[in-house]
Amino acid sequence: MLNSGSQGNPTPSTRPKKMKKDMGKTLTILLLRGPYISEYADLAANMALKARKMGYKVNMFLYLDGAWLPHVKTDKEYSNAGEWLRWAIKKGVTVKACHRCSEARDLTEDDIIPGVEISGLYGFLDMLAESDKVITFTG
Amino acid sequence: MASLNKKVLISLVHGTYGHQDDGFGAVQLANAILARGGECTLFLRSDGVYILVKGQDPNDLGLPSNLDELADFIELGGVIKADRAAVKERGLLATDLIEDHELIEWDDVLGLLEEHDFCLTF
Amino acid sequence: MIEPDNKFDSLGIIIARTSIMTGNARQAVDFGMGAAKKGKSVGIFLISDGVWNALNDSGNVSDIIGQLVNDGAKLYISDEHARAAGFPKDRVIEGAEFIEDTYKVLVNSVMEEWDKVIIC
Repeated sequence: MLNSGSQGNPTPSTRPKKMKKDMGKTLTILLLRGPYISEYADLAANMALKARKMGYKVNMFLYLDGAWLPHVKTDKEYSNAGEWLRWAIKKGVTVKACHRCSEARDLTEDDIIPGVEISGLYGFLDMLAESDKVITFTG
Repeated sequence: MASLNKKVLISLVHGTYGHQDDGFGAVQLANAILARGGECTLFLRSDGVYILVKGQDPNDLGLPSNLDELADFIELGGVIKADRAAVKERGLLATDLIEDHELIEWDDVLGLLEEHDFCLTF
Repeated sequence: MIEPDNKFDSLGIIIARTSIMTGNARQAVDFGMGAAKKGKSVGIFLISDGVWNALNDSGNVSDIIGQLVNDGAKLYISDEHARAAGFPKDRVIEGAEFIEDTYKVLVNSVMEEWDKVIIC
């Protein structure tokens, strides 16, 4: 039974969570480019977020310079790919960054957005194995 | 660890040391796919064909050789196809390239896409 | 030997770059033309700098895209990217559709409309 607010409507804390539609398909996005140098990181993070909101299971693997994306971790006065990535993770997108690529760039889990797992290439292959579609953002 | 029951096409458009991370990263991923039991075709187009050039020696640049990664790829059972027009446009001769590849026409690429579960572009 | 069941009916092409900078956009639309000739349905989604490929009479790539659209291909253009670029909408290839909700249509196209997708 739901608790009600003073007007008889559920309060935000007790409002039942909207059930996410499950589209029954998985999208995996492979990102090879870092933020700002091109728009690919923005496109990838935005697409991941939207696909998740539409009810798809979504994976992102950050490879090569894509490993830089979760380094953009603080709020900015302007829209940025790191912000979209944080939203995507909050909505349930699984994000992994390549271990060797991160190590080459001196990126550790302390340097990056929480929720991004630093993983070997087999982490990407696990994503591939369950995917219906795979999109690469490169350039 | 479960075997990867997928056939993956990796399309590479950068093959030079000027874009070393793309070529090297593509072949490393290709090798991981093969090592995990999947199948992989490396399709070289545009500047990607440069990765086939014999005698690469990036030692003085402090970089690993793409050819070493490609040798592993071939040993693991990987298949290399290259866009014939891209090779010709760059003035490369058959004698300039390592042998383990097949030159294909652009019209054949549609069939290549049909033969694979996924296409990844580098 | 893995035998994927990958015969496909529809091909999506996502273009995120101009055609002048590299030959990749040209290769992608040539590929689309080849697919159309073999009876595949083709969809093209122009996003980011790729929107410029929809400028009418601007060169080879837009000519080929125009031909594909004439032959029944769908052409989507991200409206937010077109606006950002100052794209002159009165000179767009005939038959193009400007998309307000870029990512919704992109995701739907990739996941539900197109069997195979290439991106450049």
